[in-house]
Amino acid sequence: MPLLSLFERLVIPLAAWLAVAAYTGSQLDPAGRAEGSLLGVLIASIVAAIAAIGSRTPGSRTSPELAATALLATAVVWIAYQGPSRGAVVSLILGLGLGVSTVRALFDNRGRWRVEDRLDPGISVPLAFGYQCLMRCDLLLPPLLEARTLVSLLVLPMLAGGSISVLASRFGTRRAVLAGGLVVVLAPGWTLTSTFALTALAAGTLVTDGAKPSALRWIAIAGLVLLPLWNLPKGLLLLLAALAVTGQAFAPMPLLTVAAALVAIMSPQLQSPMVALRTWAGAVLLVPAAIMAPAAGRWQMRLGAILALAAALVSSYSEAMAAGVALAALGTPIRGAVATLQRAWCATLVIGTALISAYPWVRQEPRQDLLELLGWHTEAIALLVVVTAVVGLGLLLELGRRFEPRWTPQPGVVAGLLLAIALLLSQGNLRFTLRQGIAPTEVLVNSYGPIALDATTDTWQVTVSESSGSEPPIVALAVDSHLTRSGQLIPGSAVATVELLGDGDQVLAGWPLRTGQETGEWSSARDDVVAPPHWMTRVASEGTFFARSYRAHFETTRPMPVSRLRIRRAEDLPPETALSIVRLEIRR
Amino acid sequence: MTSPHRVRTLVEAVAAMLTAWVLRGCLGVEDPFRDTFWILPLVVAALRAIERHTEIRRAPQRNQWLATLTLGGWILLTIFRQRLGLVATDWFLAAGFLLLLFQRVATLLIGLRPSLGRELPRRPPLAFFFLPLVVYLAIQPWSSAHRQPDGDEPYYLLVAHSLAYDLDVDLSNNYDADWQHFMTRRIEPQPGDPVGTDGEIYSRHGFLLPLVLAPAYRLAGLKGAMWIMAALTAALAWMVLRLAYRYMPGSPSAALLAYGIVGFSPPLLLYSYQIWVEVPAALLLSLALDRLLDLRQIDQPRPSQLAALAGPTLLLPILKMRFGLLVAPLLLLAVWRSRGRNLTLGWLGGALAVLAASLMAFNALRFGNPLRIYSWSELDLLQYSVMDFARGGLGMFYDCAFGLFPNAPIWFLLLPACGLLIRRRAPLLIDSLMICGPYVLLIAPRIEWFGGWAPPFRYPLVFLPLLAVALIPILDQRWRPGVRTLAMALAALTLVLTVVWVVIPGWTYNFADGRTHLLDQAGNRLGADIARFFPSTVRPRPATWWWIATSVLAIPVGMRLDARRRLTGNQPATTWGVAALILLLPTLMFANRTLPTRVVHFEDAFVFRPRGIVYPPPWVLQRPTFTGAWTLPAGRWLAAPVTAGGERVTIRLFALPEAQQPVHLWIGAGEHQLAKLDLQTAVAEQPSNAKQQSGTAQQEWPSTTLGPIEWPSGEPLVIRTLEGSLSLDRAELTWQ
Repeated sequence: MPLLSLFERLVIPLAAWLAVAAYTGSQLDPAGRAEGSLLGVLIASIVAAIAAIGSRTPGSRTSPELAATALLATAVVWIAYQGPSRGAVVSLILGLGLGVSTVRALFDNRGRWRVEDRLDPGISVPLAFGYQCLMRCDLLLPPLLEARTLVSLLVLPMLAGGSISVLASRFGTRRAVLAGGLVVVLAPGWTLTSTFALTALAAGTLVTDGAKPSALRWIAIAGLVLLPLWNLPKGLLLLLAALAVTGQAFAPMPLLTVAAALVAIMSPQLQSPMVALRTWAGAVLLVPAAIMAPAAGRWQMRLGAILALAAALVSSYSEAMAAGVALAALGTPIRGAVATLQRAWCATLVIGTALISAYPWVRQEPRQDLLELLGWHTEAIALLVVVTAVVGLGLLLELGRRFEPRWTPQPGVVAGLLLAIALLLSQGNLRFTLRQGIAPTEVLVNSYGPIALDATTDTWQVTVSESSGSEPPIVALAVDSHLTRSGQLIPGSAVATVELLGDGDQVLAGWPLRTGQETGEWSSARDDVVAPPHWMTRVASEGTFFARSYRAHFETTRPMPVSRLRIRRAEDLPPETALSIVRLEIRR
Repeated sequence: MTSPHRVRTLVEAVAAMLTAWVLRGCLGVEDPFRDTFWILPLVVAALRAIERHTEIRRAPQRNQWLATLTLGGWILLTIFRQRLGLVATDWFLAAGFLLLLFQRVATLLIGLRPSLGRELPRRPPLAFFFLPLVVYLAIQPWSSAHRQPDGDEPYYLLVAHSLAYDLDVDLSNNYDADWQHFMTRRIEPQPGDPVGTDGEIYSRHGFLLPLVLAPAYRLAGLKGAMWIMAALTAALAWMVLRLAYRYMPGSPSAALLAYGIVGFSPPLLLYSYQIWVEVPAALLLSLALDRLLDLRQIDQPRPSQLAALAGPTLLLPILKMRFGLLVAPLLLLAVWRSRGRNLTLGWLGGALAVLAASLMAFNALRFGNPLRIYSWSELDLLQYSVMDFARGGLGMFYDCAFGLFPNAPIWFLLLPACGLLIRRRAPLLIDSLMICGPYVLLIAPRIEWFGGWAPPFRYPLVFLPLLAVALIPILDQRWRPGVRTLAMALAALTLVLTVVWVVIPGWTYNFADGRTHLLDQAGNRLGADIARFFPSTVRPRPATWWWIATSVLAIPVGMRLDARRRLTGNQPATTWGVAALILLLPTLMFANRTLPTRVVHFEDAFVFRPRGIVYPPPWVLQRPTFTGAWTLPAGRWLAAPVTAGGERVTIRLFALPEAQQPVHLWIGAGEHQLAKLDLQTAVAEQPSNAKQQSGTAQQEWPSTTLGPIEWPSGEPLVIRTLEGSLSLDRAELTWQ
């Protein structure tokens, strides 16, 4: 019985939480206790999701990923020292467990989709919950029993998962899962806007589904009607997307007309075209198959792309395009090279985004960070070039089929062209990424012995070569740091200087650490502090927000006979402002 | 093996080498994963080759994809770990690779089940040799990068070096610089090393193992020697199936599980990348026993068959004189089990006697001692007490540092298994008792019953194949919920510990002080005396007897209760087993907060000591004869977390001032002063040489008693030396 099986399986997340809580309770360091509490809740939540998924997975007497994930995650909390590294390891284990659970639930032993036209809500809802916990781990910080937190943690995943199941019954499991995966990447996680996008599409599906109870259909209609009341421009766009999936009743052209009229009405409040284009290009990058779709589903995909552009014009937030992206995804081909590539790309995005948005990275723009990791910078020019190339490729394929209907592009050729475009555009950056990825030669400062520069100690230096020039030259260095009580500083102010010294005090090279660029305020996760993108987080001692550190990477331009490295605090800093160096690496 | 398979294997091997070259290039020169990345594609190709060339049931395609994708992702994660800010996580990444390897091995083992048929084959397929060999080779790069040869290993290597380059066993010219070929730490002749009449320096260890290692050592240095050890270990794993065929041929599935346990978990896994005589000794014993059991069914054995028995038997004492204790029992067993071939075996016995006499004569002539480094008095068992036998005998299985069970808990299944063997009066039980008995009787009461500075279960390792076969009856009952739940919990714990031991190989070497590295880390991290809940026969404590009693009584009784229930449907035995395992952790914490502290050993890791030094020094000989202490200099302090068991406490402090000087102590609970003590006056009439006495570990340190005094709850016991320095052994607390 699934319910009994679920009950028995929930013993494991409870046991894991108890074990972590027991360890956390013995910690003297408040930061360690805070981090332990977060990890305990995170482990219990995701393991519970895995347990729920496993209880509904056909043919699954035991879920090895359930036991393995719980055991390993708990063991890591007990074994590893507190800090971002422990958090990273736990997040990786949980992400892997959730991923394995997802694959086992969706695919049978032969690697085929278990059910093509149905997705059990008993699987989709816990799946949505699990990814929400992983990608929005800030929700798991106290206070947990706040209404807003409970809605974000429980209600939104329920809505999202349920909507994916509804969409699966109409568009097939593959497309529905694809749509859900791409939406969760956009925000990231399930936000109000992204969830409503899926819900609107599901409601649109229900409205014209004669097999569903009429009460359900009326609820769907009522929900759709109320959408514009929530947020006028976004709600209208969601309504349009919902109407688009109702079937033949509403043709694409009237919908496009309405969308254009909406944009025209909202013109005084629109985003700048370049900003909108950049935002939109990022969304299109999620569904490149939209450009190369065969005849079936083409209107949905193009309408989705256009709705996404309209959303980008009315809002600068990526999640506003969720409806358009989901609509485009619902029209992707099921089979063929393009379909396979699309699914592989989606899986890469979901896994990568989930990882980078999880603790301890908690990146604010994980999708962009993932693309940068792969060597693509999300600047307008680069993205537009990518999108143009992909669009151009799709148009070429389309033209080819028009002139020669019997011509079918070889999957390998398509894949090769796409990869060539990707490599061409990422070549230089990928090398940079790889170079940054190589382990440092030396770690001069680590997080267990940070350096603090304040009004009383304004200089720190270390010998890096016993005699200058006796060792291989330093080619790069990385500084992880954060500021304390720096809220009053003007962004861009130099707070310290990193210097390479030769014999005596001869400065051979120097780089500034500037607030808002190379470093920032540690408590910038609080709502009242503005800061640049951070490098790594850790749970603050208070336990209610994340403390952040920032990484600055410097490279030397020529070999130099370096004997010492010095970091000097700026003289004009306010006395209460302190700079902490938590990690300093050099590479020879 | 068909041609297409061969071609494919060859192509994959070439592809693997190219991939290895590319992967290695993605990492820096100093990267600890560089050598692992070199061997990783070769391991993948080798495992695929085993799969291709064996009658195997393939894993579901979905699982193959998952494993492949996960491995690919893990490789990328390792390459990009700096870019992701994954610092100090090398151990985790190594653990991930290891778990992926174990997952692949488990899949292959399940797939290899059809190759064993309905009854175990006389000759198990070679896949059961190559599979563990590949695994042992896979873990060697990481383990050798994280530990140098230690214990007796450097000396075996030095002898191998001498044989390989000097063609002799005289080490007088090798101690100067030749150790640099395989380690960075200088080694000196060991105490008791025989010295020749012309000043030659010989090793106290036998030359047979170095002789076997010498050719490979000459070709590939330390790596070559370790490859040979991996091959010997893999052969030993293969022999387990062979012995299972001899004793329990009708249980192929259970035999496969037993093979998996012995081949891929501690202790054998830990010895696969180290150089110890115990592995070849176990192999020789297994070969001899296998031949002996074969001869049992033959009326007229051929000379070659007798030679196959004689060879391994006679090589045992040459390998190490200690293993001569196995030879006589083997012969007795052969005589007892034979069908009247006493004359033939008599010839064998005679050959053994001649060999023994020759060895003794050689030793007497060359080293002046017929027993080389041993003495005849060591054979006198009457000099030992029952507790001496119990300490060593039980310690081999229960000691947290050196015992089999705490280091690989899956072996707890031996307890119910022995019960089954006793009930069935299995021949395996009798054979094992006959062979192991004399050896264990002589080893157990020795002070260093644990094998000195070595991984756990060193001396009894020679019997590991027999212990593995002994598991088969209980593994045959894995359908019972109780058995499965217990097995799953023990297997999960063993998996976690195995990963720890392989990823941190230094933690498998412990000092004989009643603690382990793992328990020290836990105590230090939690600020609690965790070690008191784990058994030790080096430093006996109540937990030792609780563990023994509980395991001997509760496990078999618990399994008996559900004897009639059969596992059906969705009963999640795995779930309950793992949940119980995870719940042990908070139970441990609860126990620590509830059970009052009775003894504080000041050298333990959970005691906070900013200054001072441990007594005795870590590398002292015969460490179990010392009770450890902490020497606290003048003007220093230490603090020991204490769980109170009442409002008042009597403290009996065992301590000895240094150098007959006055010592003034401040004793308190946190910041609250409990007493000030003039220790010199208190211990003036106590014996001054009380720090070391031979015999048991409970020595008589001078003691001083304080109290009963009020104890504020939640405070640590703090001791400050206001004047003078002293050695603090322990404090015994009696609560009221």
